[in-house]
Amino acid sequence: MTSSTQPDCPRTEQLAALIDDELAPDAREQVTSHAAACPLCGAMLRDLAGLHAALQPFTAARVGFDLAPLVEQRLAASGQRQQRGREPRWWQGWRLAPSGLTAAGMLTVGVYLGALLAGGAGVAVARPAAMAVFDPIPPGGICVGLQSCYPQR
Amino acid sequence: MQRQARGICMGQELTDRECALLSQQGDHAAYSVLVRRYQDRIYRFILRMVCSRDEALELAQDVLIKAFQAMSGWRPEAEFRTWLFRIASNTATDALRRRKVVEFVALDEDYDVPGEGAGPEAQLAAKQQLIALQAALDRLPPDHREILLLREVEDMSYNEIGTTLGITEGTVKSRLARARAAVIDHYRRKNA
Repeated sequence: MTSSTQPDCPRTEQLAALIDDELAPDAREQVTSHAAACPLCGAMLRDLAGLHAALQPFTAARVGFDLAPLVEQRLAASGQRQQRGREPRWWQGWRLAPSGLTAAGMLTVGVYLGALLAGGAGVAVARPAAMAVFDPIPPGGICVGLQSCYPQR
Repeated sequence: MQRQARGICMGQELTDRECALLSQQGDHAAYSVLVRRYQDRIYRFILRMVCSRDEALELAQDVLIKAFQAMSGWRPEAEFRTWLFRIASNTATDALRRRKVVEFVALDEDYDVPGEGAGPEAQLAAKQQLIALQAALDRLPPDHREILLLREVEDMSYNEIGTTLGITEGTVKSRLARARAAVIDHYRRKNA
């Protein structure tokens, strides 16, 4: 609905701009004189003016109290949070200590077990006889280290 | 707080620009002057966009906080009002996008309906007219609704609306005409 039904009628945009005082002087004069003679544009102009008047009660909505202290309070709180975020936290490194120690321990155990399996890494372990069933090399299997294949007697 | 801010300028009323410049330097008292000056306008703009009093109150505070935090980005050559309403428009649009559905909320006591002297019939008629208008507004797409509100309620010029919403004056003109025509059309059909 951007134009009236008559071909020479101004578009609704022009009529609205007239209401809003946004037309150049010559265009304003042209639209005003047309609306005065044209019943369709005259009615549209009255509707636009009526809409403006009808919407004015919406300007009455109020917060009802002072927002400034609330805003200031929230700004102060967010400022404090930001400041805390910027403070150096040397002690925060200790938060990583438990996981770091666990990782280091697991790595050590892994290396140690790997060396045991390799057998030739110069690690001498006294194995109790009862634990022979847990020998990593199955009977008849290929030995994984020189010392395992040719044990010293 | 306003008295403190006025005291800074030896009893003179501070302009928006002066208050904004002081706020940029971290002056909370000057910013409080701006908050008091704009809280109702921001609130009622958002209220008509989101149709919820509580949400509008919350969002109005968010806008005023965001504006202070973004104050370093405000340039003195820009009008503070349009810059602030741009933040309000973005905040309202984000809220609508998050919600996806805009529910209609009944009118409350905020409306300036005719007083006791007008008689109960006139009061009822005025209230019904406002309800019909709000329903017509709710049917508009948000980008058309905000233009209509900025023009009709906030009394902004086409140029100011364009600056606020980051669109050309031509777009403002055409969207405003469409929005008005749609509201009038809807209002007429409802009251036929």
